[in-house]
Amino acid sequence: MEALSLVTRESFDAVMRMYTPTVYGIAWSRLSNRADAEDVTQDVFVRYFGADITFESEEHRKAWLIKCAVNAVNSYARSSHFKHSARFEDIDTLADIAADDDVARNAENKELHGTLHAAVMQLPPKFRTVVHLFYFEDMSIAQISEVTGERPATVKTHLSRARDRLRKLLGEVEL
Amino acid sequence: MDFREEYKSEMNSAMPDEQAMERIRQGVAEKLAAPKRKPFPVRRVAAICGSAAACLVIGFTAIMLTAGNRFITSGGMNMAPSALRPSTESLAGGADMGTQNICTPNMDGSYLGDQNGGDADMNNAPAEDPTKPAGAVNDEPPSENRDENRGDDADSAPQYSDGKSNSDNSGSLEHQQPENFWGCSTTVSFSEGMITLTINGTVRRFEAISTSGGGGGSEDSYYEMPSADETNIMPANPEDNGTPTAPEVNGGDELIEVTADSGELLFVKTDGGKLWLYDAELELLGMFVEIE
Repeated sequence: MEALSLVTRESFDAVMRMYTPTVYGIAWSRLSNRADAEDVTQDVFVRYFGADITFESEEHRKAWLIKCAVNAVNSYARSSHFKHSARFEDIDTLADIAADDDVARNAENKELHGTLHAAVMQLPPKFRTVVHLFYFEDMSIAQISEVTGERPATVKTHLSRARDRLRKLLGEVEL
Repeated sequence: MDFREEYKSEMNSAMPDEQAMERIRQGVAEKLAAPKRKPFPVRRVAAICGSAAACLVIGFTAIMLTAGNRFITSGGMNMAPSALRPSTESLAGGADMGTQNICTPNMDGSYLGDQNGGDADMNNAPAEDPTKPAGAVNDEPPSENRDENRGDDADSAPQYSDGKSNSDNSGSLEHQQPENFWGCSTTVSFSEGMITLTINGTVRRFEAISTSGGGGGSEDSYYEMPSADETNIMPANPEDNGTPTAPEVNGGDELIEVTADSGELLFVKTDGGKLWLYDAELELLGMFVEIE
């Protein structure tokens, strides 16, 4: 805690308590593994407290943390450690989700079949983050575009295709 | 079913509990408390290594270019074997004959007896008397000095070449021995008024058309040879009354430094079918024209 001399204990705990669910949710929605999600969450907060940034508002702070979380998740997902490590709890979830025709059949074979998270995890990785930010964080297309670095049209396309796949997986659902 | 509400509720249920939150908080605190490792300075190392490599390349290139220029300047490029040359006319380059084996003529007194003394018997003006036209007979009697310089003064004449190369000029690049350097050999021999120039088996014969040994010392005598066929005597430059025209020594033409077997330093210049012979003082000793 000596390294937190510039950060008071109260502010450290407050920030951790307030934004850990947001950061952890982004990581878990993408990685679907609790240990990996915790690692990514720690990295994000280490970057946050290590950076000398003055935030204008809580929205600015939240946007910074979300963007940092998205980047950290993308980096973690590209790492060889994540690609080559076996995950016992989610090994079925990370099964092949290649073709559209196979999506429904794959979902039927999943242990978590019937849950929304299991359906979201059948989506391609680039769709999962968009769905999570849109439905869980209640972010707009423009905000998602700013956070992910994609164009708004691209975000809209990803969201539309994700909805189509979710309809195939979940049947009649209000999206 | 409202997907948004259902998804939020599922995600909230999947959020970390208090234990997981404390675990994350401790992990962050430990990582912040840990001393930061200074990353390996890849860019700095790459810049230093790149600069060193560039300096090495530049230095090596400069050394190679300097050596190449020195080699070209010294005429080393012309020292290639004659088989690689377009023709034997490249002898006019001069620098390719850094040293030669001089074969002195067979100088018996009977041969040179009537030829010494300032070209008295040659229908050609001596070099010291440019006022005389070509073909004019020199009426001046041979001087005593000239008589002393007759070719029968065999004691002063150098011995004939034994094929040994000149070792006096082996100290510098300009005096590299051709036969040692490129495996070629150039031989000049004097016989019966002719100079035979042999370069790697290619024989070129030169006939004396003018000699200038009238006022010269004894060392010039054995080079003073008449033409074998006096009817073919031709002035070196008919426009200046037959006075042999020395090549422009200072005009950039390179003289070939040769050393006779006697140790005497001479210079030779070839230009197409002509050959000029100079002494150490760069005085023209004689001109020769190539015989077909």
